[in-house]
Amino acid sequence: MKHFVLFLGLLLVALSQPLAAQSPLSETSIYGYFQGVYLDSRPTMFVKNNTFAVQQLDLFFNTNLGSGFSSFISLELSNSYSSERQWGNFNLEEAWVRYSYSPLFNVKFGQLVPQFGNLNEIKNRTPLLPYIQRPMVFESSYNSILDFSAYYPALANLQIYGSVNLGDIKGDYALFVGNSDPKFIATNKLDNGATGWDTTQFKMFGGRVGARAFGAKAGVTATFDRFRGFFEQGGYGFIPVDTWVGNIPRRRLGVDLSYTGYGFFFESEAIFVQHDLTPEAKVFLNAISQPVTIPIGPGATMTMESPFGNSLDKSFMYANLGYDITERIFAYIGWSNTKDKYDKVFKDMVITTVGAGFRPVESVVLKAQYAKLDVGMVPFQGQYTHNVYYLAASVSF
Amino acid sequence: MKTIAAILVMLALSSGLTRAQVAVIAHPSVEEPSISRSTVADIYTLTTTMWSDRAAVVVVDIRSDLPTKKRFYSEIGKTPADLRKVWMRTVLSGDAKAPEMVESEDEVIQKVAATRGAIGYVSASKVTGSVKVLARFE
Repeated sequence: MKHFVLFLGLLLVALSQPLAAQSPLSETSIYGYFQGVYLDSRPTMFVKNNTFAVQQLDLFFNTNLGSGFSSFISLELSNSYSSERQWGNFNLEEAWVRYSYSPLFNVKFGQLVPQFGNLNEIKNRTPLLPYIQRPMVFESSYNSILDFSAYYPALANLQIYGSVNLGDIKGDYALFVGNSDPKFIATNKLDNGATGWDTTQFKMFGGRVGARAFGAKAGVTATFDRFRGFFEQGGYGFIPVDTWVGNIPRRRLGVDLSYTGYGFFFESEAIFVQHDLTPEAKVFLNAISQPVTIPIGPGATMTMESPFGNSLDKSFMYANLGYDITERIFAYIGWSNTKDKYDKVFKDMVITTVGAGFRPVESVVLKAQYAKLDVGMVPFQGQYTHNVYYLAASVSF
Repeated sequence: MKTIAAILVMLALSSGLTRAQVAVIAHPSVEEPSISRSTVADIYTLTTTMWSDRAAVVVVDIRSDLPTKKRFYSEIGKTPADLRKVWMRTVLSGDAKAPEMVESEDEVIQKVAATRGAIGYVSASKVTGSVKVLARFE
């Protein structure tokens, strides 16, 4: 053990010499952005409210390390973060080192946001987004009713990617691997000795191939991993005990199409999440998806529809179409939809939205947006819609 | 008739001025003897970020709307709004650094001459011996 500690100490001393010598040569750019918002939320159920907030503040440290190496760190503070007041979240979003051999071959290693579809990589980059409320599964305010991590891989740990010129067309590719779904990453030291560790025996693999030409960009993308089939007791009594149905193979398939030109900007994406259920999972889901009859009084019973379906599959689609009215003013309309075969309450939700923005100076975008969420019929509540009005200022620095 | 001829000559001259050659210039350390129009476009859309000797490309651009800038953007088939969107996306994704912005063509030459791996563009008539010419757009 002593030898090991001594070895580590010597290694650190040895490594620190060239690093210290190189640091003046490394040019680190520090930049970032934030978005302040005002929103007025008017649901048909629950309480109306309105609030100001700093929705997001991101800080980047981008360093050119020489000889094709570079590094990037992204720190994100969301929802008016304050540890003193216990508000919001502070996240290490990305920390990676990249080696670029050529445009065709680049490798990133660390923690990164993989190239999955169109929006995943930039879903939090508010200065790039015309809207304030993002398409549904990318909008953090819906995380209480949607399982985001089922729809896309928010993080990966190794990515090989590049692009190649094929005449007027540019071909893109990306291959990535990462930990399993963040739901299965340890948050308690008792789980696996350290927080942030993957507690599963499997990894997520994925990739994207695409093409760009004449302002258009299109791609197909996929990931393969497993859904850890552990269902906790609860769910209105439909899940009587904690149940384990095995690791369920899961694949996400996506297509994306976007275009910028003649003043128009258009983006769209569809994601389909499919599962190969284990025999145990089929039996379990069939059981919990059946209606149950419960006694509600002397001699009286009531039959309740299950809030659960007999499949874990789900899908998501969105499309936005905008127009740059002038160099500084733009307007857009948007639509997004989720379908979930497991969650019968939020089984088919639609958001329609309209908005506009103004760029008074290069690094400031003022935005306004109206969004309407239509959930449909909710048990015991009736038709549920949710109207939200937003104002925002997005500032890059 | 003389007046018309004079006007025509002046128009031709002014047209000649606005259509003056644009030179794509680089720091003398850049090894490439010349680069194509599509490579220039790749560099200014931050798709190509390294020279052949693996030195980082430092893109220099002009902040104000000079005729040379309009001509250069037109030659690479981009509008300022197109490039702004591409730059923002690339820079905020960490895939490249933002171009260095300067105010005038003289500053472009100073910046490119002083920065290893730098590339910029100026009117061909402004080129000095302190920089290397990689391409000329007629």
